[in-house]
Amino acid sequence: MAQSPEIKNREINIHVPVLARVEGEGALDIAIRDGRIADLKLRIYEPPRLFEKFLEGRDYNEVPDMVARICGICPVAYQMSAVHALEGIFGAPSFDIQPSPWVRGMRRVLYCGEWMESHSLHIHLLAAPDFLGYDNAIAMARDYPDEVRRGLRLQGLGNAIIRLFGGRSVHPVGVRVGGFYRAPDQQDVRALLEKLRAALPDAEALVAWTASLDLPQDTQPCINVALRHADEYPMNEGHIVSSAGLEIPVAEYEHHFREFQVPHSTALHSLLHDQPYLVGPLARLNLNLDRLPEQVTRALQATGISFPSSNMFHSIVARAVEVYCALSEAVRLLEVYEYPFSPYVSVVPRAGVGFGCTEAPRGILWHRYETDEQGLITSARIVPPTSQNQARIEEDLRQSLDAFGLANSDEDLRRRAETVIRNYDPCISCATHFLKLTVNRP
Amino acid sequence: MTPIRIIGIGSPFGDDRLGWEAVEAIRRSGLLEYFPQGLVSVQSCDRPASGLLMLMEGAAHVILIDAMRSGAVPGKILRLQDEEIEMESALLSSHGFGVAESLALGGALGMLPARLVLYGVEVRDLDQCDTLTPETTGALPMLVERIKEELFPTSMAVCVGKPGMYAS
Repeated sequence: MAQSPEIKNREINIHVPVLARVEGEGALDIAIRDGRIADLKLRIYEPPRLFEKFLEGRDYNEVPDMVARICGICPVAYQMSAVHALEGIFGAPSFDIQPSPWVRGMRRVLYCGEWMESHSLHIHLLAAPDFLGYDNAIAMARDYPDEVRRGLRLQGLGNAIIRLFGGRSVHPVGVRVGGFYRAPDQQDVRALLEKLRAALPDAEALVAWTASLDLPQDTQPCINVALRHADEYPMNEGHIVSSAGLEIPVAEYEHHFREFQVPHSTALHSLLHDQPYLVGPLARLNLNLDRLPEQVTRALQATGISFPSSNMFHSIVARAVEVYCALSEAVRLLEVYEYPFSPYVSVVPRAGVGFGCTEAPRGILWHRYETDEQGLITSARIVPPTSQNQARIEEDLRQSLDAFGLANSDEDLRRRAETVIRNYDPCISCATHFLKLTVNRP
Repeated sequence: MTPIRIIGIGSPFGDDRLGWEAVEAIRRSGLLEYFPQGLVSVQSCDRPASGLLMLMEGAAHVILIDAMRSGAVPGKILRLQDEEIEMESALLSSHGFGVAESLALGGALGMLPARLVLYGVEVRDLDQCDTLTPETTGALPMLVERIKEELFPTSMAVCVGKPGMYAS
């Protein structure tokens, strides 16, 4: 269609740089023509793709350490998906090797630490400034010092949990196929447990605080995807379920979810039965409301917000709920902590294919490995949550910018677009407060 | 939680391991054995973001060690103290998000230690390998020496400093 001269032709480029230590970039390009969004492309850089190749030919024992490097914010998630996938190969029922109940419990505690750390950071330093009208967390902290300090305390406790299982040095963080390299001392566990217990009121108050924020009302029904476990809020185990009725074992992921390359992004897009879908805290909460610890359910009910919710901006409330859930779970599991006979189960490598899917802070993280008889990796596939959410974020941007009003200024549109993207906590969000805007007007 | 803390900031990628390797070099040097137990500690952390503030909480003197890229000769050591860090680290640190923003946040919340020193070591490109480049490795002995000089006078000042400082 030919454009008449009076048609408004505005192109907005939002450039999102990522952390300096990894190459690549993320960016959003929106072309507005005729008062409508003509084109919208979110480009994100995704490190796991490189790692899949690096893993080939490596010994299975190296995998937990290597995948921990993919993300500085969620190394535990990458380790957990990897060890579950590899144990699926080596610990096939005929071999009678299963991680012990101790290992299972402590993996959950470790994951709780990562959720607390990652969610607390996102809520206070990335998301809240958007909803309270600040350019960044530093400006916000001057007016909300108590809330930010509370966030830092919860984040610090999450980190303390992770350090409990780590060694003296930073890497490896103590996870191995079959369990952990070492078990924490009783004394260290008791000392940390006391601090965790004392923080429970903080986490409860955090839920109420996020619910009291003036969040935009933007309801967008979409397909939610998460793990679901028989009797606990999902972290390491469960089936993959969707709000559209899907329920499959993690090994069947590839039969239903399709990844494909789009020209504008190095990250693959992913669709479920050809539809965009949502993963992450809001999807997890929507699909697992009946799996929350009792006191967390009470705190959620007290907010007056009705869940399941299709307001994407309720993600910040879902994150707070999960901080409280993770803290409660860590306390419950560490209260009955006993020093184990062995912190791991030995495995015997063999050839096979294994699948692992766990709930990273940002949503399901799916791994597939193939090994030879010696336990060397012959192929690896890693599907991170951010690439799964990419199509959903683009769909959300189209809807919410339309609803917001395309006649708004470039600056207001940029701000709104940033808020929408940041709400999904994509890995690029670590850097999104550095957003630069370039506007081209023909 | 000791009153004097040395924190090596890094990531597993090539020269970005500098902070971790420096911490190991300090441990190996025997420097810590000069001090009474509970006075000085060293630790490494991986891209801590705002978690850095909790690692510094309650300390009187913190020395941060981090890789930086400012265009200087690789291996060059830069020392910044207190206000200098907030003003300049955004330009110098390889941790584009973490360190500068965390310290600015700490400043806004009054959470920074009374004395904060950052040692930056100029590094080259960061890559996937597990080792430092020779230029960066070559800077480690000098860095340990500089930190030793840093610690001797301040540890004495801290020791005679505030009554009741070690009560906890």
